[in-house]
Amino acid sequence: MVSAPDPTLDTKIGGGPEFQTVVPTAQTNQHGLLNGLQDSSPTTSTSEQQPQQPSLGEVIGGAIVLIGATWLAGEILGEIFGSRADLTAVEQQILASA
Amino acid sequence: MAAVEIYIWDVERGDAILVKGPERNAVIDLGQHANGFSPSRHIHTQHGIDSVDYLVLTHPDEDHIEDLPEFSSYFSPEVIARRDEADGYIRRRKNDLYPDRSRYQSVTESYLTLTDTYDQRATFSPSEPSWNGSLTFTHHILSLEEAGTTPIDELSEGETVNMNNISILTVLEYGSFKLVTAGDLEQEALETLLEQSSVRDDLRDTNVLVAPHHGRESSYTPKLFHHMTPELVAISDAKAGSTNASQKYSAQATGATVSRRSGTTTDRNVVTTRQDGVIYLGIDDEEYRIRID
Repeated sequence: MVSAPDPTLDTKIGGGPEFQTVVPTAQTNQHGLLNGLQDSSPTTSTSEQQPQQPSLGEVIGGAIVLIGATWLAGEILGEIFGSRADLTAVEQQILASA
Repeated sequence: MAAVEIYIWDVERGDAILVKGPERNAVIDLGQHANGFSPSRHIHTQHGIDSVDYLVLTHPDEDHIEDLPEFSSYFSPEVIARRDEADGYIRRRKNDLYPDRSRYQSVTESYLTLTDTYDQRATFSPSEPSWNGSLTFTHHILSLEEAGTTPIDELSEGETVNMNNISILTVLEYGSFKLVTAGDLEQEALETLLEQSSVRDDLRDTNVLVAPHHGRESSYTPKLFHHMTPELVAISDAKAGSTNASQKYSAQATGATVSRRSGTTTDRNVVTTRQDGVIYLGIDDEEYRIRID
């Protein structure tokens, strides 16, 4: 059931980066329900900054560490849960791990 | 903060959805905005997320995988859901049909690298509640034959193939909340899927429907609403155009209270990324809230 928004909580719900103009946003007019059905020209904008990429050396170094960690985690998880998940017929067709 | 948070971003005509679960994170499709907005970069830099555990690629059309090169630079999901039958079609598009489109080359290279890498049996089932604090994903698909997809060896030279109907339909459930998203499935394929009793059962009591194929008329079928009565329909698209079925979806939804950034609230049957920007759903055990821009 959808709940009525609590104004006091409004800054907490979805109050993350989405609503601080860092993603494409759209300006709306004030025509109520049909607002979403009568499209105006898109007015998107963004001010997101490019992230700092790790250097290739860092990635390679991290990958070497992760290979060992993944192997170890796989061994431990295999002991706890069994080596295979129980997959449905559809999941067997579309799901995969590395 | 809600137990489960869903962000449906404005990536113009594509799809990109982040699902922050109680314990793990998932992404459904990776479209991109032409203004440079990258969902993957945003997840990493703005949400501070280092790990996406589950990636669903409904189908490998460009508007659903365009952000994959960026995604692969940040994340290595434990499990992916994809139609590996599509790889042959993608290789054909990449090598024979669009060899001069550099962006398409890099996107499809990322896609094929990913699907080649993920060749082991999945280590968890997303339909099993224990994988993510009772948040589950259940998937449904059509075979290539049911989808009417021309086998690759029967394609004539220069002919491309419509991959919309091999899209993966996903039912996301948490507590009493249910969201359904169906990639770009078109009308006939949706109706074929509805012949499966398991699909009909899973669609029942849907709260939010992400309209298939960006709310286009070609993917609208009233038969879908014989099995669900959503409160809200979300449409991810750039422009309405003459083929948009928003009015029809609006007539099928019962309406939900939506809050805006300004603090005002409004009752809506349909929300669209083209007009409302990012669509946020905050879900707890017995209730959910919707926020738009």
